[in-house]
Amino acid sequence: MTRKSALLWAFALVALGLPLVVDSPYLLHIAVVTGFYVILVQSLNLVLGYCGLLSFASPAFFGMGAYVATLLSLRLGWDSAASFALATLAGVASGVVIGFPSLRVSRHSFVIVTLSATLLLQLIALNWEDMTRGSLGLANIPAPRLFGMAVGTRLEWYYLSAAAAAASVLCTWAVVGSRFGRAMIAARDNEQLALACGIDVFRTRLFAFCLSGGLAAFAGALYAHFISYIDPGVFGFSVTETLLIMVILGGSGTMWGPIAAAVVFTALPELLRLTPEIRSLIYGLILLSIVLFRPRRLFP
Amino acid sequence: MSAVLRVDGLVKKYRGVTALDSISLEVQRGIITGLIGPNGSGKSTLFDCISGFQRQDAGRVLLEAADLSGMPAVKVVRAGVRRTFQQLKVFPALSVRDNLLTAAQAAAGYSALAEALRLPGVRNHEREMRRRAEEVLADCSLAPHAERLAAGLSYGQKKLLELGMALMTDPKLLLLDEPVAGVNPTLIEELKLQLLRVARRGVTLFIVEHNLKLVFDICDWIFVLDRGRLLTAGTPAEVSGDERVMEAYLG
Repeated sequence: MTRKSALLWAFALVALGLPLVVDSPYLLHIAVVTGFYVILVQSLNLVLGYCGLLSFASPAFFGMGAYVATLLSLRLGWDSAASFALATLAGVASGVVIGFPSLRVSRHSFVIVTLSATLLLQLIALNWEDMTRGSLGLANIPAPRLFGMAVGTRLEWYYLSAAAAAASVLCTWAVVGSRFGRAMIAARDNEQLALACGIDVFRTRLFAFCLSGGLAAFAGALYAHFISYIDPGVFGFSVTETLLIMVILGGSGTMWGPIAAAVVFTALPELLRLTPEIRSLIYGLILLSIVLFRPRRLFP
Repeated sequence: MSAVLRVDGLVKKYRGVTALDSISLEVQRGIITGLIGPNGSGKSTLFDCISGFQRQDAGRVLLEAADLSGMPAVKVVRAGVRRTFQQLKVFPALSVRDNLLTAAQAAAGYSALAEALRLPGVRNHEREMRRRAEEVLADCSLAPHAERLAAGLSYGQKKLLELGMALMTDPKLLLLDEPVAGVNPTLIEELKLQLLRVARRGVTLFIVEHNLKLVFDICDWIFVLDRGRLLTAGTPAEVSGDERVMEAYLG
């Protein structure tokens, strides 16, 4: 067994046994949220790390997933297995809608389009009051029922979140290790040569972007049911900042670095009891110094 | 002999400057064809138009019976035309072996879903490509470096890798844009032998090269471009004896 797989197994064992040791609801709450961040960070890493494209669509996908799952559950009483699946598909579909026009043109316009998509969806959530109740938000989102079984307690949530995170890791790992992963890296590092190798750069990027959309939407669906309340604030950019820090500090375009960073950067600020304002300030400073001093890559 | 590639009345203009002025030529199967001409005569532009990296303003490109005119680069590759670039290009962040596997992607016709489920066809193809990569590694004397990142190779090794990548998928036509540019004399000999071996295996080569000695040495037929026009064509002996060719080069 290599050192890496030993580390992974150790981590999985610790994750499985954690609730036996930790019974503070607050710490379990943080652990659940950590699972969401693990999913989100991979969503961004696929696009930013493996494709080399800066995307501000994470909140768009996340919020899309949150609203779709919530509405299906509140208004139609769907089982969460079905509503989570549809929320994920909504994320994939948003990936097609946003990516199809923007990935054909320059990297700059891609950034702008992803940014606008997020703002647009937030506007829709604010103004389509019949459906979303606008800025009042949707409250009393029930605990998810998976095939009839309710996920209510913190402990049950912990295992749901851990399973979801593990599934997303396996999914991303399979893609990144396949020829699609190689194609993404190839298109990132040398678009012309990638084309000359017969790699359909546009479709490769669209595939990564849709997968990224599905993952983020899935995380959004989980989040909505966990917090049991959402409003148009789920389309806010503060999460993106955190995700950027995680991906870049963890090592964008590497499989495990950003995941480790997601765990550290979700747990650490909570454990250090930083207020959100101070955390934002510190994250902002970190991002600024990365852009100023190591704009290309963090580690040589 | 039969033509693999037929270029018919190709015209390419950049903002009113005519880079290619009605070029017509044929590349015959199984031989090495050279394309020479002074800087700015349109050699790379011609390669760009054939390989789909540029769209011509008029004229047709035919590969055997297939019309490639106006096809995007990816489809041209899948039709069987591979190319290399004047500026050496490899994927620095991938290992030498992964560079070769990536270069074989054109041949993989299966979907993302089949890939995700690891269907037998996918696994067979993957195995076949890995076997092929080992062959190419041995051919290009890169086997000891298979696990190294391409970024760590010497310039000459990268040149060999670039050629190896182009050979992963058995192209019908291989366009090489300055295969020995910037290479030291010892390695030129090695690359030359490599090119001859490739040609002997039945790959049709079309080569742009400034090293005229090499071109006259290995090519069976040579086209000469000058200021976007086809100046002349012939065997190495005919072309090297043609006064107009030297005149064009010396300006």
